[in-house]
Amino acid sequence: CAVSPPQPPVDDAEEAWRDRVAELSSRDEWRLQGRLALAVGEERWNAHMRWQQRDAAYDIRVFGPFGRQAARLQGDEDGVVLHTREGGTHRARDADGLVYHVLGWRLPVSGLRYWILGIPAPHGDLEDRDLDAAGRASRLRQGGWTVRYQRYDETRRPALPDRMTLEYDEIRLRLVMDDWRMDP
Amino acid sequence: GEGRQRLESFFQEMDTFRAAFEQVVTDESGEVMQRSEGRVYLKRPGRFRWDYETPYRQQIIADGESLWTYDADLAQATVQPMGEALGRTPTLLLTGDGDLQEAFRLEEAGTQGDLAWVELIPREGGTDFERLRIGLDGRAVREMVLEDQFGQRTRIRFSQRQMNPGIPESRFRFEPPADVDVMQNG
Repeated sequence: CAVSPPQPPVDDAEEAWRDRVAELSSRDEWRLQGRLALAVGEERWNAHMRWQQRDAAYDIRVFGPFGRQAARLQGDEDGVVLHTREGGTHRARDADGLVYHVLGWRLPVSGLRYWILGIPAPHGDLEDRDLDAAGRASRLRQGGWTVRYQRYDETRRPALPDRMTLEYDEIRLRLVMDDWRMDP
Repeated sequence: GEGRQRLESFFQEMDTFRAAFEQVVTDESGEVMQRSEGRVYLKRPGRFRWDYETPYRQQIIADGESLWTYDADLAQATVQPMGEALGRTPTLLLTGDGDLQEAFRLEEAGTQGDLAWVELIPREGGTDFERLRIGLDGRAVREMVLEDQFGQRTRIRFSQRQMNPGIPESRFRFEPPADVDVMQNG
């Protein structure tokens, strides 16, 4: 992704932030191809990811080198299904709980669905937030998670996150976004 | 059959192999999920190196004993013994370690233009791919198609192929950069 010079600072970061949140909250169809690195204590693990969102429905695939699928999470307001490479299929109402139950580590899917766009999740209170000079989030704290945005892809309007990290207790998740697809 | 003959002669003639590759991963409906490009180096026995260059920089290196993966952006490296890696890294079979027939049953899978295809069916489970096909032209391997049990398919096309070029041994050694911690897997 080409990263042009950082956006000029806006005179009112708060106002720019409110416009951003309104603009991005209205986007209900997008697709992301990226990579994630998970560190839980001493455990390290990385994979490719494709996240497809359409209204409340999401399809998240996690796969390793040479395209070998490791897991697939499909869900909407009614519930979620997790397919694992070992062939297991698990259903539940809540994605975060299911991932933790089956994979043993936390992936805050319901929050990440919004944090990945650079905005807070509408449900749950936003404990803390820092903005950069262009009125974009540099840090969010929500649901016990600390989300940090290291870089934005400036070639788009609104700019979308390009590098981000999530932390919760001893879990550290690094996300690198390779390709955003979002209808204007 | 033509496919098996070409595959066997590829193994007999190849000591080293170098090529550019394009890799396309599609989901079960055939929609492209990911496209990447880079360079691949093979050396018998059991050494290979995949340098993914775009859109991300990642290396997968087999040095004969261990299999290393390294992602520059994620600053993360993993290493695992090669023994159990064959199942997960079908490209390892390209270096013709041991007799291919031990691990796979070979079946002709037809011809397509100047390509003759061979299907490799794992004799016992453990490989993470349901279907594995290799396409060869008169010179060398040119395509590989790997399918997992979810119907996710990875097609790899080789170009700028060179049989038995000189490849330094150092190409198959991985030195993790200072700030990168290497995770021992398996």
